[in-house]
Amino acid sequence: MSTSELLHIRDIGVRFGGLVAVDGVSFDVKDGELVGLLGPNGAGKTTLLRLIAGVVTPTTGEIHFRHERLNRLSAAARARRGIGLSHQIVRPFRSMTMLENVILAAGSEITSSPWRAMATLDRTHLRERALECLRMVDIADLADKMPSTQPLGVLKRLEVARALAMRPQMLLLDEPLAGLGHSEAVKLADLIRDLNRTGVTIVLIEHNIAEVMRICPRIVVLDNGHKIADGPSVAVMEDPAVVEAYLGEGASHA
Amino acid sequence: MGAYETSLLMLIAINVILALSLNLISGLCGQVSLGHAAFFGMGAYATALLAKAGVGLALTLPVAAVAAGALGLVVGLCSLRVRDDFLAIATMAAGFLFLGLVRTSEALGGELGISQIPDAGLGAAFPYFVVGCAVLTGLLCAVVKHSWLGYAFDAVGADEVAARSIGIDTPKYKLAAFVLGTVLAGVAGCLYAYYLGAIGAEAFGFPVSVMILAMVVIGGMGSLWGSVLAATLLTLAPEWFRFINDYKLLVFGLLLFVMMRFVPGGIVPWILVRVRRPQREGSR
Repeated sequence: MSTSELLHIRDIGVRFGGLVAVDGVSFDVKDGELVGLLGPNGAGKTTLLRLIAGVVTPTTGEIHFRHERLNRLSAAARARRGIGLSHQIVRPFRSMTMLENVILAAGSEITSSPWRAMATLDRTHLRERALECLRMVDIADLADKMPSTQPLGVLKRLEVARALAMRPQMLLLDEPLAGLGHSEAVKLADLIRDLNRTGVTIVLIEHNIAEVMRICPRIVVLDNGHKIADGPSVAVMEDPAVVEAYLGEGASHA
Repeated sequence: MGAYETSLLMLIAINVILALSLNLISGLCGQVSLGHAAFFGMGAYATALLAKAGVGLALTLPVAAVAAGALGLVVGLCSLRVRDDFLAIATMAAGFLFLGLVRTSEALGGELGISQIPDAGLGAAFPYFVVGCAVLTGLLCAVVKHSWLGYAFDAVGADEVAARSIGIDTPKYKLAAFVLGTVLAGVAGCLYAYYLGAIGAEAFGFPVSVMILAMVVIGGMGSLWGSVLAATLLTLAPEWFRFINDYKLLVFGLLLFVMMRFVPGGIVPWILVRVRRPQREGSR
């Protein structure tokens, strides 16, 4: 393992009943990388992201983050160690304002134990930090609005802001651009690239291949739970195996 | 104040503690419980047994609280794997299990219950003590609600997956809610045993669990003043209208249904929204 290595995955696999969702996948992510995770529907991308975040427990293999074995750690413990996950389907806390959503995430130190949480009354000292996160995704002016009144594009940004509030070392984004219009998608993709340039390592799943090619220097492709390609984005997208997985058998010969 | 009013006031105070304690679990943390009377009963039986053995209030109260909290921890641990309607059934089962054990146990007096429990030894100050406990419970709940604990409870109740992804250890928080809420129910049970001087299994059955839940829902899930108000009203109603007493489960069940259908937020939030709205419109 080199020192710049952040995430180290060896031979990871999981099965749900008889269905093998992810099988023998290995790859590493270096500190500061921006990696696109591609693959057809049902390839196991979301499952792989959830394996890293700890929402799903692997049946085989090893996951290490900053040289620490993660396998047995809960999702909450991994989140506190610096792995942020933004969900494919937005999950804001609808009883709180947008800002309160982010403040709660910014206070993950406080909520690490119920007793510490009970002893802490002040919610204002993290306000600035939370606002900063909302500013980073360009929705600071909507801070006091309730999530249920906001369009999907805003809620997608809220997901990212909430993940950022935990000051993650690595951000896992599950289809951050899905459901957005073209200009909105381009804006959010730019924002993801900018975030990466500030030093946050990012792994993202995205079906919008044009945007992935534009912002991700490296792409990993999954198909049927197996890794079929991994490398610089242009080379990967020209790989016959990848073209075949996407367009069907024989397409690469056409 | 006459003896009747004093007695009624104590009953109200005990029910306020019960409603607030369930509000912690169901209102603030979003975990349904249909067996809350069991923890109330645990506190009452622990107190009755100890008091009859000659132990004083200074020890019975903490023991009742810890016993109920320990039972709460066990039920909470069993409930970690289930959610929503399954949690409702699991907690209901815990309530029936408690009732079954009490009814068949010789040591707990079986169907006859335990009578001639010595008084708390506070004399005329006992009613003040009971009301004081209710006030302290209210303050504790206010601290919980406004602290980061209440903040995190809100998140756990709303969306567990999202709560976990921002670092909140949801099982720990659910257990904290169960333990805190059941400890308080144990305190209510202790006060109730001293207040009546005799307890029987029927005081901790399913209708009582429904009554406590009705108080929380009618007052408004998560609203502390709502729980206080609804507990007061639902304690007074059977006193004022005797027929309600005969059909408690029916009346409270109907009230629950009507509230869930027409005013799902509960009374106090419903009133607050209507009081605040004209002000906001006026300020524009």
